[in-house]
Amino acid sequence: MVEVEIEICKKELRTRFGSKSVVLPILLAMGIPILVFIPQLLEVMNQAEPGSEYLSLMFFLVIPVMITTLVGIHTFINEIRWKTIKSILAAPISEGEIFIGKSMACIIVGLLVEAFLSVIVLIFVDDVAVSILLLIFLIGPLSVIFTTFIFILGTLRFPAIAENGGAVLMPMGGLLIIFLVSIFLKEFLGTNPMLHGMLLSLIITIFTGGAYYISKKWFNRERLVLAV
Amino acid sequence: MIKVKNLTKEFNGITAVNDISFQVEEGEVFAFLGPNGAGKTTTVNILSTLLAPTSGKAIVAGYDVSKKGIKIRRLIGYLPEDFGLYPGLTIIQNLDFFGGLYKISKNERKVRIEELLEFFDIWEKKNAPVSTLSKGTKQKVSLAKAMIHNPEILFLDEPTSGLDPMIAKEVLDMITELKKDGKTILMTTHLLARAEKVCDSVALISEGEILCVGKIAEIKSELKTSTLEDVYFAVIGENHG
Repeated sequence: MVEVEIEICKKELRTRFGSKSVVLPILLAMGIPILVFIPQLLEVMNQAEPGSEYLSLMFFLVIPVMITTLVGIHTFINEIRWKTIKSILAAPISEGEIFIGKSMACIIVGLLVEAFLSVIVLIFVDDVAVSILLLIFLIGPLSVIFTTFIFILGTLRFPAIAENGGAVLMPMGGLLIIFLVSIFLKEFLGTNPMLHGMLLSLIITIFTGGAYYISKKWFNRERLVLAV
Repeated sequence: MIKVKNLTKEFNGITAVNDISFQVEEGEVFAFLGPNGAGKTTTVNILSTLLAPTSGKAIVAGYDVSKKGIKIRRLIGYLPEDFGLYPGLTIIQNLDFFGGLYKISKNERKVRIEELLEFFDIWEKKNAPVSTLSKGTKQKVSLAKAMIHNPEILFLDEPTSGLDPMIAKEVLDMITELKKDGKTILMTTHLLARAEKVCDSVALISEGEILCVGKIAEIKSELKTSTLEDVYFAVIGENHG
């Protein structure tokens, strides 16, 4: 049922990670923040210091999303640059399959980073708070999916913004929305972490569905063909 | 197999294809001839369901291009003007990926890829990244990609463009082989002398309008010319003059 999406995802990962010029910047972008923040995060979390939740948010939301963006930012512009977009669009596949296949590659990378960070926290932090567990297992992965959909959608509609780096701002905008919704929920629901986390997850899921719906509406074959 | 009636395509008020009509029979090789910007690629793109017509009708394998895009795409093979291959992937990886898009099973794909590598004589380079290949080999890989699902109809946009004469001849010979297999082929080309040998029918197009269409022999006899080249210069030259 999802065989085409898997083929597109495999090809995306092959073309991304087959080149050192792509892998090295990604490793640097991932390695530096992780090396800098891991010791601090573990220290703050273990001592349950105030502000640990913000550092956790940064850790579990911003870093995976940044790396996901680096992996997928050129997803459509590369198809145009390599002039492969026509061959893909001439295949008997739907717009939704192309969108999901391309998003899957980015989401897999984001979730792997998320999983790596989670393992470190679960090993080295003594008592992990419920809010952090929700962040690790629910809000973080959902945020990766949501922000991926947002920037794939953006680069699909306006491929040129990937070239001038404007697409980087889109997932950050998605994260900002999540932060604002989180603050809003906290104001109205108090500090019940379970309720807050579940509601926030539900809202992110609805936004993700909305982004997918818009992507199908915005997918314009003609625009992509003429961009070549 | 392909029926086009009063097809028009406009881009931002500019008419790229203007009210064209023609028909391609099953098993026929049909060539679109004309100068750059005449509307050849736009027509191929419409028939391949990459672009939507502004008005008129195009039927491919019994399906309307405006309504049954996925069904048509399953039945056609498409060769773009500029290879459309992933430079960082090997020949096999490229063919395997496109085979996957046509939902061909892994085993079937393996067999089909081997057949195509043999047919196009690129077996020895199968593990070479596309970026390291010559233009001629890239074109063969691109043709193999268009053939991966063994389609009955092939749309070939400038299959000989940018190739040296020997390789161009080789590619056209392969098209002749495909014709023998009963494929219906619609192609655009500049190589008039070779096209004459390969094609059954032609359409001469200029500024979006078909100036002349039909069987090559009939057109030549009607215009009292001996070669397709003479036909081309007589028809297109007159239109430009």
